[in-house]
Amino acid sequence: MKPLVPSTCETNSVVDAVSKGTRLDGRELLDHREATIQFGREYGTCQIRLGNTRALATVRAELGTPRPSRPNEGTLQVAVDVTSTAAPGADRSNDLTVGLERLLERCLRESRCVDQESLCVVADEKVWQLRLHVELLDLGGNACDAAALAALAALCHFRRPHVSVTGGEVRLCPADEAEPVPLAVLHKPVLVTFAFFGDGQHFVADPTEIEERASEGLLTVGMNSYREICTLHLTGKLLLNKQQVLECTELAAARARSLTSQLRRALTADEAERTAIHPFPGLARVELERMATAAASVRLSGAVRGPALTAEQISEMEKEVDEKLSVFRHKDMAAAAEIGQGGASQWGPPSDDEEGDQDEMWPRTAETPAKTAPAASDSDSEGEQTVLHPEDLEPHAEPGTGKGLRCPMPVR
Amino acid sequence: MISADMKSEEGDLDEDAINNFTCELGVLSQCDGSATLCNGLTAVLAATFGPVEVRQQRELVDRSSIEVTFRGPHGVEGVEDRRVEQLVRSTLEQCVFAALHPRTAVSVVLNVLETDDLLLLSTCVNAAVLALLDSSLSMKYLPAAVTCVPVGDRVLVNPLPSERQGSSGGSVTAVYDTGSERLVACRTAGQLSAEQLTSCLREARRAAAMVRQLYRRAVAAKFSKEPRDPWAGPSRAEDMPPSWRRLGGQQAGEQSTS
Repeated sequence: MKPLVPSTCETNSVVDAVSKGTRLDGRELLDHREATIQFGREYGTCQIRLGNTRALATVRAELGTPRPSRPNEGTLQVAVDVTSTAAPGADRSNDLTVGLERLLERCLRESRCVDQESLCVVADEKVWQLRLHVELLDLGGNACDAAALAALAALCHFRRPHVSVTGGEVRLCPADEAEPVPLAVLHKPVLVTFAFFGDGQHFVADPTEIEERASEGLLTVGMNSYREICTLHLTGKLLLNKQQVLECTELAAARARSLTSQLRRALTADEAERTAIHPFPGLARVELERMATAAASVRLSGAVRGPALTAEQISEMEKEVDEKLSVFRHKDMAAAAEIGQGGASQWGPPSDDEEGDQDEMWPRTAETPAKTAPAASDSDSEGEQTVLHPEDLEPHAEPGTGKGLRCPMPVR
Repeated sequence: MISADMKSEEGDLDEDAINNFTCELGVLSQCDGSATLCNGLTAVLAATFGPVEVRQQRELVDRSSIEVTFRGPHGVEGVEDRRVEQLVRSTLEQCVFAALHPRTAVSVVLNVLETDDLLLLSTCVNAAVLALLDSSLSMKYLPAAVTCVPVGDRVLVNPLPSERQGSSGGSVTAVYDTGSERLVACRTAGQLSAEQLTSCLREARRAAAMVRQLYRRAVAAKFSKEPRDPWAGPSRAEDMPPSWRRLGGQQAGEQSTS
């Protein structure tokens, strides 16, 4: 598909509106759109929505050899892709993707946002190589900011496997044995873009795609919550003076602070949800799955068994299983078996043998169902399947707080 | 032996099985049609442009050329992606009214948000159909894809990973025409006996009717009169796919999950 050519009247109306202090979508000149942060099931997956703009970032890590010039540091590689349906005429690789890749590298790698020395496993031989991939799913303007926020959120969310080094041998510990380790994120730089009109006289924050096309130039400021400028990037046919740049950096500082606090809240909420889904970290994953299987198979396969079950039979079976498993009613029960895969206990301060500098801004929440953990491990050691009843449990795991094993009809 | 004139068996369809699906139409703003479909632990975002201008090599004089692009989860690239594209394309080529739009192209892009590998193929087909529904492209019939796994003497339909324990590793992904209940496409993986294959296909045909219900509900929801803030996602947090939740930000009128 060929890209749409913006019409002159569209461009003129945008410039006209901005000079009068209004915007086509009703925002004030310096208003930003609300950012929505969603994390995926796997660590290191994050989707950001900024109005109509969507960016999906994933982080993957693998062990490899370091660069000869930096034998003690891990590496961070950034790749940006645009889906061909993100905009008419969007191509997989063009100016936008190359420019964004370079901008993200400057903002995240060269500003030392991730402590790359902590990614070193064995100096000169083995380091962690991080690959950050950002996919732009929808281009509704200001893809820069969305991509940068998605990349940052994915890096903060990501956990790499624990590595044990014995003698010269490096061993990756599976998730059952040792909890995955978060990256050491030293500071959180965020990109904020401004579009200029009328020879630099007026500018708007967080431009939409029409405003970007109609603007004379874009100024992107990368800032963190400590009011440190990490990146400055100016594109287009525009000349700015010092006053304008300083004004923009002030606005960017406020936006960066609010975005980083939103990100912190989102990460804490995600962590709390993962813990809530798996309320008994000491319970073996297999036990949990077996219980989930028993309940789910009634719901999903009751009607496809050999002899057709009558409705009463099905509801009787369901009631039985429901009673035993009502404590696990949570709409994400089946996915729960995949998250929080047992392993070392999370309750309490991080142990000394964890690798790298732990990011102290993200202490683990320590609400502990301490009473039930011994009960769970007892049942484990006996090797028999124990069904837990609601009365045995802590108040925070009340039945009825979740949505049940079946998702309510949530079609839009 | 697969009987040529299998009729629908009597028996109640398990409506609960459809509750493992979550879908939303019209999620992207720049393309003609888009849909997110989550089935269990697999989530796929499908988007379509079409009918649009086509490159000369792909131009067909009597009908529209269907192009499918599959973007797997990052890091997983290769021949498997092309197989998924091929299945989806052959399904869509049969069901889309391509003859109405000669010398054009309909391009479908599938982005995988999450996957557990087994349900990926069927979710991709269903998501592509939903995206085409959203773009209002004329279709002859609606195909529905279902994955069946034989476990012991039962057949599980679209099973979650925790339910697949005990299976021998074989699975069948079947695409059925929901109108005439005829088989459109079928792909198997792993080892299956002939009886298992037959029973899987039979269960898949029944389950395809449930997927058709999903399509109807999705389109009805799209045209419902409830006002929607264009900047927001689904208006209720419960509409979000189970493993993708809305976190952060204060949307007006947003209800947080209990």
